[in-house]
Amino acid sequence: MPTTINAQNALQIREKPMEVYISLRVGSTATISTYTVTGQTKSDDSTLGNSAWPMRTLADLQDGGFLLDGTAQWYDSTLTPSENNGKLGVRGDIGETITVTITAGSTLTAVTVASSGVSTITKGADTYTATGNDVVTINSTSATLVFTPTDSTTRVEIDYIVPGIMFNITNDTLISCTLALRGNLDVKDHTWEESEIEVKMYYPNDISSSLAYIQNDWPITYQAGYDSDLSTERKFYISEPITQEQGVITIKGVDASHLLDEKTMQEQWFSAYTGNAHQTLYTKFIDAIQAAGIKLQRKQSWSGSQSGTLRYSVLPEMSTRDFVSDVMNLTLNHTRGGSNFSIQFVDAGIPTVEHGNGKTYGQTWTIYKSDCGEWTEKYDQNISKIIDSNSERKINETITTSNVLVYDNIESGLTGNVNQFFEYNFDGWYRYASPFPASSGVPSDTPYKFTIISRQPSRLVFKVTQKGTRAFTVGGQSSAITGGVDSFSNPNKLPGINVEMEPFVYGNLTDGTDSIFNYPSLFKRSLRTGSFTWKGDPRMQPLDYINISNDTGDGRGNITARITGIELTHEEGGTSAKITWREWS
Amino acid sequence: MIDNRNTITINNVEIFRPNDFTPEREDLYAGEYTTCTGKTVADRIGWKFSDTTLEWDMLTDDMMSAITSLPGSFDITFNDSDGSHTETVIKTGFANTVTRFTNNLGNIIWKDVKLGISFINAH
Repeated sequence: MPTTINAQNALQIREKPMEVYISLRVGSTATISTYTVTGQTKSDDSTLGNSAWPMRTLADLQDGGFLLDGTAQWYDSTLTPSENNGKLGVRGDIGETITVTITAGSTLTAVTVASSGVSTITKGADTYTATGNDVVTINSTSATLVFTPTDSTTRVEIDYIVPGIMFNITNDTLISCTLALRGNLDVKDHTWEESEIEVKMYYPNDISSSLAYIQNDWPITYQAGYDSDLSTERKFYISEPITQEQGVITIKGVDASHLLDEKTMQEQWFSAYTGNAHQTLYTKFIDAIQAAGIKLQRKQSWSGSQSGTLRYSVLPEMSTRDFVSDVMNLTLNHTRGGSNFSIQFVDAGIPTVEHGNGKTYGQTWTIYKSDCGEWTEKYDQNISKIIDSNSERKINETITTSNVLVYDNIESGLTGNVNQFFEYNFDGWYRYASPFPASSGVPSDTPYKFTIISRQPSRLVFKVTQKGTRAFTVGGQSSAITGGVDSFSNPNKLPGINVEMEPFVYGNLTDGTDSIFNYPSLFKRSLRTGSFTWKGDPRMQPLDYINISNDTGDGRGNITARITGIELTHEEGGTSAKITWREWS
Repeated sequence: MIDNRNTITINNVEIFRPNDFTPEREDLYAGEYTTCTGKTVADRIGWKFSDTTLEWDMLTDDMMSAITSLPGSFDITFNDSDGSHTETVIKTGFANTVTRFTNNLGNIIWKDVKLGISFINAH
């Protein structure tokens, strides 16, 4: 019966170590144009540049004969290499050295070689101890690689030689792999943090000069579990220079959410109808994440049609990380009439957005408290009041806009030449601000034409694309703010701390009568948090639900919580995790 | 020819099987922690032969030379009830008393030799 993660996790002592697969692929702009093979070869084909096709298992009488299970084939030089047929690669005569000369159109920094039956690979004066998957530093447009067999009874087999660096790290070479998968359900300090991976692997050859060419943001993939039941592949990106010291290579990476810091969202109008404001916010949320450069792997749909009244808000300039963090904080506990309006983004190598209760992609795990070590539990201080910390705006203001477009209030009587830029910073906010003809022209007028470069609530940049004969003006729909509150009090009326919080937007958007930026819902957040050590499961994600069972059988003392952090460690062949949680009802 | 049940191979040299040589196997555990109820939770990641000390009452001069010239790590081949095993080991200690003498046939014999070894591979 195939081993599964669930079956092994049910055991107090897991009977099999988890397999860990980490891959780092650093491509090269240089391509190898020719492969010249010399030496006594038994068989070869021209597939040394193809790392994807498997080597064909040939009937071979070395090493005590070949397996009679049907996996070995007779050598057939007419069989076309392909992904299905496999390939021959290069196979030397038993005990014979094979030499491969490669040439490239531009400088190759390094090549990755997959081989077996090889003791050393020599390039000029450099000798590399072969491990099966080896990086050879080149720094030239050509190189001659000499493959020496492990002994006089072994055949050199070369699978591929490709430009760049490819590490396929498995338990055989892995020293440790630590993942810090992060979520955040804190009301006060709710900034969503990036997740990290750190890999240490043993590599006997000194390739530090080749590692110097690896840039940040190259992808690292991670999977773990058992071969018949592996976790979803997580993707991280190199965040620091890769180092090699005394044969140990250290690779550090972060998830795609590190891009949230690199994109600033400009001040902008954000409008929504009262009939589908939550869906509109969800769409905006997804757009902001994707605009930051994050490719979402899983994305739940949420359809809605425009209905009701159009309301307005202005998002101040902020980083995408602040936008994502604030939207999640203000919506995660928002429920009405049995419906859940939470909006959430989880990355940890599998960028995912979803809404509702977070169980479309998020999973629920049952964990027995008796299986947990280092159990800690604490309560945050009760929040008795949330107070507006920004003197410029209040919580849940109302923005009204004039019903008629106002022109000339901003600027009038302008003229310009083709390609001339105009930039205006307005007092207050204007919707639909744009340049246009000052008045209806006479038939002989040539109209000005423009391209809008940037349209923000209080700033307009445009360029003249066609010169006209009549002066043009700039105008828009002016807006005003009314109402709003300076604080919200906790309905439980219990003593606690005051938490200062900056209103997320100017104005307010409502779905029905509920504000979609829902400050009162923050009081629903449980104060109860904790942490424990557990066996570790590579499938777990931040914000997944956990039912922590107290083993009494009557449900007393059970806790329903959501995961706020996972520190998953693979080390010395074993796997364990430190999990932090917040109670969730 | 010596019966291979009475010999082991150390670094490709056939040597008398040491006194009371019964290689033990020990399970290896990792990711270990103790629960709040005192249980041990861990992953059984495999097994290895336990570290041991090979002891001989007497060795020939050739065998002694092979042992004194051992590198840092080397292979040892031996039989147990499960068949023949070749394992890579590292030397952890070596001791012998200065009791070199010549037997009736004129061969040099060394007495009371000890070699500590640690098996480095897991299965």
